[in-house]
Amino acid sequence: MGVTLSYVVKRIIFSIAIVLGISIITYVFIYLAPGDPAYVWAGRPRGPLASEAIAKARVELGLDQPIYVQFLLHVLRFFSGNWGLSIRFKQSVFSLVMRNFASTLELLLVSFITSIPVGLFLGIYSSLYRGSRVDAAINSLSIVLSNTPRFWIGLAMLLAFTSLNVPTYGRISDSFRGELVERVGLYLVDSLLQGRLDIFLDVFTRIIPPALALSLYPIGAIARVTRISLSEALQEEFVREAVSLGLPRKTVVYGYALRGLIPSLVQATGLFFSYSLIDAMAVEYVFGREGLGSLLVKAIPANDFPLITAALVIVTLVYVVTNTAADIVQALVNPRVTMQ
Amino acid sequence: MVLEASIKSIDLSIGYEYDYEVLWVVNSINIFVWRNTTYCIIGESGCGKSTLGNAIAGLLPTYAYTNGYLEVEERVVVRGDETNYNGVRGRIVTRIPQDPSSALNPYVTIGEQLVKVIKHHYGAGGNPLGKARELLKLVKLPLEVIDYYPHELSGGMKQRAAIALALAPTPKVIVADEPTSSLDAYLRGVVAGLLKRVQRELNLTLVFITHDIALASTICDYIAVMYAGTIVEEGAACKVLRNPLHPYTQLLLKAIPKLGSREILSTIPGSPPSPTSYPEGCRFRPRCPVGFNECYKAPKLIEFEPQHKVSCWRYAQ
Ligand SMILES: Nc1ncnc2c1ncn2[C@@H]1O[C@H](COP(=O)(O)OP(=O)(O)O)[C@@H](O)[C@H]1O
Ligand code: SF4
Ligand SMILES: [Mg+2]
Repeated sequence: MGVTLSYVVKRIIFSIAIVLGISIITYVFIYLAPGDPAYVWAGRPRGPLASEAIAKARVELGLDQPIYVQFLLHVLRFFSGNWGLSIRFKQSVFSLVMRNFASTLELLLVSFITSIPVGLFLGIYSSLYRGSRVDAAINSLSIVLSNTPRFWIGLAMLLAFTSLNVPTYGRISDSFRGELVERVGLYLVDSLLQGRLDIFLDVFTRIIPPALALSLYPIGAIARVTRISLSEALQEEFVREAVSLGLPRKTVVYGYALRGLIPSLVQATGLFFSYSLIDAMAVEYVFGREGLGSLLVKAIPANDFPLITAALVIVTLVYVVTNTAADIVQALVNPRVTMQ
Repeated sequence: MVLEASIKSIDLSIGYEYDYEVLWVVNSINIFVWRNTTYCIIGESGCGKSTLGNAIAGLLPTYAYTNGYLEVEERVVVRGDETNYNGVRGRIVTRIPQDPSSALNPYVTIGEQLVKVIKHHYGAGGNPLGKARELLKLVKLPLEVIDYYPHELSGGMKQRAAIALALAPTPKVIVADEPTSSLDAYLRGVVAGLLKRVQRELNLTLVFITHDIALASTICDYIAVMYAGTIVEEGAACKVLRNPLHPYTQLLLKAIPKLGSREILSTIPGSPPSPTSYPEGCRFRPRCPVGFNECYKAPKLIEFEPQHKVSCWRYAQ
């Protein structure tokens, strides 16, 4: 296995380029969009002094500069770690984004911890019994699962749980919010670190329904990718050879066929994870949870460009990180691959 | 040495399921392969050679159908529509595929692959690493190869490693399905020669499938000529090659390029029929240069002389 320095450098340059690209696009869109950030920053003033206040705000935000200067300043600040203040919330963008990202990440992690094994199991099973009735059932199920709108499923679940009197709205009950000491930012972990099982259970019951709603797509998608690629792998000559050599079915499937699938499965899962970020936004909104999605929903009407760029950059980084992980796994599994 | 049957089939037919109907691509085949011999199955592509080879090696897909009887080393593997290859794969028969090097697991070193197979069949107690080394020696590979991944070996070394792997479970029968067709002329000879030597040294039965009758003639003891799912001629190699009876065999032999000649090969006009449209009667009739009225009925495989059978109306008394 060789993860070379040049690979790491390339990845970093690639990420920076993507972040720059995202910033440019956001900038351009916000520049073209109706609405004025200076107006929001000045506190939406009215009356005779309003235009003066807005002009002052424009200077404060640097909006009086030509757009390329604005952009350069923004990028320089961004890469030096100074993400500025949110126009809408007047709080540090960095801490806003991080707090909300932790919430989204927690939701996604819970959803993927369940969907990866379930999706794999369904995919492997239907591929091994290809053509059987079970296979047909799993296949239609996975198509339905990966195509049902998550927003709709989220709403249905919310209604179902609420009618059962299970509290699922919000991330944590209001009474616990003051008591929880945030350390990692993931409430499931923080509550355990604090030794508060009651808080943990509250957070847990609230996260399960949205996580389930979110996991339907990855379950279906992972099952389908696994089914197709495992069926192909089972036809590979070295896998058939393993059968011919009398190796048991388990060894053939898990030791030979599935091994070659790991990189593409990791890659696909990473991709589904990135897609799920988008779904998470809708689901968070339905369930009244904080998160990157709800944050963006609030930031966009206010033309809150520092916050929007930062949130999008985080989304991008998640994508880059999962992809890099997939590459590294590929190099670990496949001796022919060295990462250049 | 007692001469006994290694492989025996009675009216063996094999088909594949296509959209709710079964297409029988191998039809009522009777073969008898002696132990410790090299038995070549030749014929153009699509004649059912691989299907027959896979039936012997236990590698038919799940949607394959069988009929008749097949026995490998005294184990009944096909009886009617039931198949049972438990304990047959590996210990009794292994297969070498078309491109032997594709049989190697790209993710694992040669040594690990050999050891895994040896351990599975003989346990960890029997010095698997030592046995792996012996196998490498047998196929004339240097011992360092143990620590190499397949992609680090040259083409020829990969072929040898793949043969070593097929020998690892100490099978009694090896089915080599066109093991040389992906190779250049030099390697073709090397691999065929190596297989032949291993067959002799280890007292194996080698079923060698090829469409290359010239190559077959250099290594085989017995030849079966397949056409459109049936065996049209079978017998001791010297008899079949010196005195080919079936018009198809005669044409195959004519198609061999003479060494050094620049003359255009005589190829057999037309191509074998697809299993969906086997002709009535003799299946070679549409391409046969010497067919006659009788040929609209199906001929039977009959003994023309000792150790030489043919299925053609020209030899029917
Ligand atoms: N796995 C398979 N599934 C379905 N049909 C097959 C399969 N293998 C071979 N066939 C069909 O069976 C016939 C004989 O093929 P094959 O046994 O591969 O012949 P050969 O090895 O002589 O070229 C062909 O018509 C081929 O399309
Ligand atoms: S049976 Fe007739 S058609 Fe068939 S090979 Fe013999 S002569 Fe030709
Ligand atoms: Mg073939």
